[in-house]
Amino acid sequence: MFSRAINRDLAHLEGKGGFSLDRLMIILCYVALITVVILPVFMILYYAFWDGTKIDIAMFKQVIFQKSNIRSMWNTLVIGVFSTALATAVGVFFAWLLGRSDIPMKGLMKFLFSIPFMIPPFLAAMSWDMMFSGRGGYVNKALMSLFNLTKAPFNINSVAGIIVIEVVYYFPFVYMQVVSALERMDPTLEESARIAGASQLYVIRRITLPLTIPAISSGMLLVLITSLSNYGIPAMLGYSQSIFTLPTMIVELMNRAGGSFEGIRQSAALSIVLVFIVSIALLVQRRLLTHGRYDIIKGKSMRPMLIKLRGAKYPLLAFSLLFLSLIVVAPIVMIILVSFVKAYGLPFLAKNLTLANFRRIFVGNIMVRDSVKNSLFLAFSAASFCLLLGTMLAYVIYKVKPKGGTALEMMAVLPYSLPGTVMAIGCILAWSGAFFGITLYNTIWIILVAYIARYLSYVLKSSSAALQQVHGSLEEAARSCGASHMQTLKDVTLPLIKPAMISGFFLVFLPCMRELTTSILLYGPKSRTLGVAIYQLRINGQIAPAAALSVVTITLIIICNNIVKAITRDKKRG
Amino acid sequence: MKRLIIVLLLISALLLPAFSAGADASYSGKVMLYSSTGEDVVIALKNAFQAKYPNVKLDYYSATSGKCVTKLSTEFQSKSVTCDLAWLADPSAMINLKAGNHLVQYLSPFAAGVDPKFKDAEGYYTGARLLIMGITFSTTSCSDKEAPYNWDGLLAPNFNKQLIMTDPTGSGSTKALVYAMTRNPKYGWDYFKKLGEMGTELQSSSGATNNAVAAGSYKVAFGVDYNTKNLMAEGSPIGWHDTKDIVAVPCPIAIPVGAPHEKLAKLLYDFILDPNGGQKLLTQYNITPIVDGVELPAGMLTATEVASKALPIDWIDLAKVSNKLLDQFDSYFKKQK
Repeated sequence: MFSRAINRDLAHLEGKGGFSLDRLMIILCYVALITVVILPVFMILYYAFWDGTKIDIAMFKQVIFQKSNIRSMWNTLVIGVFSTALATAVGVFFAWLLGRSDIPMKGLMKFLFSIPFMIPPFLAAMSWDMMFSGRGGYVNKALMSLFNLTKAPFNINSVAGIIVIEVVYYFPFVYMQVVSALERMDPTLEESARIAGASQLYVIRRITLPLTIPAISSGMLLVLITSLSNYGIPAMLGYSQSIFTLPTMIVELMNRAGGSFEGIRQSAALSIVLVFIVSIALLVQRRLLTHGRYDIIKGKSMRPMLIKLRGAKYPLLAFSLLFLSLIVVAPIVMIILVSFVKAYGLPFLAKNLTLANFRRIFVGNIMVRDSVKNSLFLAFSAASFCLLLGTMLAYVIYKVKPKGGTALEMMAVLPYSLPGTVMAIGCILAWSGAFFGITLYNTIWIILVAYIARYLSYVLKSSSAALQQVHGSLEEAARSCGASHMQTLKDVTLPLIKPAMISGFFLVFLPCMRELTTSILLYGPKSRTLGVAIYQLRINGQIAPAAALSVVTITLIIICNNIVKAITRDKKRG
Repeated sequence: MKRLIIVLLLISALLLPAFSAGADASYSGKVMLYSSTGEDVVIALKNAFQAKYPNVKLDYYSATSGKCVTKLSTEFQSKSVTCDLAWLADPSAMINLKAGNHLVQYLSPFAAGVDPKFKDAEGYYTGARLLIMGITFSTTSCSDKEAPYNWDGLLAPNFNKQLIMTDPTGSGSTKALVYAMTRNPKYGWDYFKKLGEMGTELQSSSGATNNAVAAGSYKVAFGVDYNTKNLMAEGSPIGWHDTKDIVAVPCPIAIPVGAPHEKLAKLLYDFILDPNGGQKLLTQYNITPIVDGVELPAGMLTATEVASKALPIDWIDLAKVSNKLLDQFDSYFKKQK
């Protein structure tokens, strides 16, 4: 009897036996992931192949082989492949220029690179549309009158136009990955090659490039997946020319069917095709990554040797600044200008400028006011939930290490590779009374659930990276001094990963603020988000008020971004 | 004495509308309007309605007719109706909703003033405003002289690749236009076939159509009267011509089955149809009222005039052939790229 008591005490100390904190966390993780991720995904499969009474593959076949759908699959692929290839080229070039050469004004350029991250892609697309759409774009019009052209010099409303905008918007993904790899690379490798007599180009080709291949390919994959599943850019630029991609086609099918069962089933079927294409991309990347992994990238910070550009220095600088101002500054200036113009289409003369657009979106317009409130609420709640769930998941997966840990991780990162449109369709199917009669459709909660599913992996990644650096000995030390499991978590583990948690919070907060892809399918009469509000204003033809609201949105995002920076800087200092 | 009575009667007659126009605090609660009417109009309607019924809060959801119907259908399927009153620009959508037993029958006292062509005889829906199609043109690239006054003028060679229209798949009003014109021997499908061959392009909404013209991308478009006139008032570089052959769409209101605030929905129903309420308000936004007896801006036709002159549209037939109509239309216009 005595020994049993001791055993129980020991078991209690180790956190085993009884209903321990670990087990509770494992169960919570499973419940949360099954609810948020698995149910919607399951419902898509169920609806695509189940017609209510029996398994039905005919509908699926008919959807895939429909001419317009094949066309949109083709467009999706063409846009995905070309924009990835070009974005990679541009991204690597700038990463090399900023990470390895002695080009001046690096600070300014780095700042300019961070701007596209803050502007929602559909806003950028809208702005480019204002500049270069056929005969009506402001820049096109100016060029036509300047050079007496009868035809518009550029047509942004084309597949090529969509590719160009995606490149402009996505190349910073590659740039960021590659520049950090270059900065962490051991410079002695390059130096020894140079000493051994290799030419500069040979060093780049045989040493620098192979060492950065993993960074390049992960950047490429990011671009490819984002491009394949992006809704905003093709929707803004392609509609007037009947250019559809899979995500825009899915939304179109939903709308055309007027919400009927058949329409939802068709979009579910098309969603499966989109997921299939994205999974192939993921598989290809995994193959690429297993070949040529190099562990020579060191964590130590060393000053890499800078390549002297000599005569090419100033031409390259001029080119880069021109390029960056064209792709970063011009769209913002355009949106700001249009937000002050009386009516879209008027030239930007003093007599045509007004504040009426801002008044119009703020005074009496409950939809705009609601959308600001909704987006702030959604971004804050989604980020908080993701923070809690994501950190708990990271802890369970990397510290508790239960048997089904890999399954948990796979479930959590699944929505990351699922296009937002697909996730939204899944949420509609799952939360319109299919389970326990719960109907979230038309409410803000369905958007929240979708956001949590979509962005959970962001927190999981940042928290697990931090957790892996917290050695188990720290927790063991606390436990051996008599601290309870809960106490250890609270006083040792969590404080150590706090900076990562804070940055994880904002990694979710910022994209939620500008989300369009999921919310466009999920918004209800009172749950419009900022993205939806801008999109609707534009679709209804109120371009100038849409531009005004865009200016407000960009300002909000920049403010939030600066708050993040201030917080994370304080944390580093403290 | 007699004179006194007359004076008293006159005074009371003058005071009566003043009283009835005053606030009525006996109703309270919330009412949700789904509307495809421009948001400015809905906001004005909300303010006027709330001024009359200070204890009632009017919420709205403003989107295209197609979006409103999609929302409604999904609400019916999930049995969680949020909408109390729907105001769509597409009578055929209402006919489909009625056929699916999704509408509440309501004979508003004000519906009597609406022409039978513009309402459901059984009172499941009632036209609440008129939308009139016409020709919108860009004043920067097309002179007033160049812009035609009737539909056949749009076939002129100077409008090759210079003409746009709203995609009828998403726009009830353009669908009605296509129906009315293809059923008319003067135009027929030939007309649209020619338009397709001229390189006529499609836009996603009538708002987008107007903008493309305002920006000078195209010379002319199949336009919607009040959209264009409102933009003109703002100073946008576009112009408007009424056409000889009138295409008019009555935009109906209806109460969905399961509306959570049916009583207030009926109150709003009446208010919108009231010549001294919603109907008077419409004219401020260049929208043609559906009932006579409202003072009209210069050049606007009365509802009765529109009813007698417009190309005939059999809305029930249109609802039936809608998909076939769109397919044939698409075969001329949508050669997907």
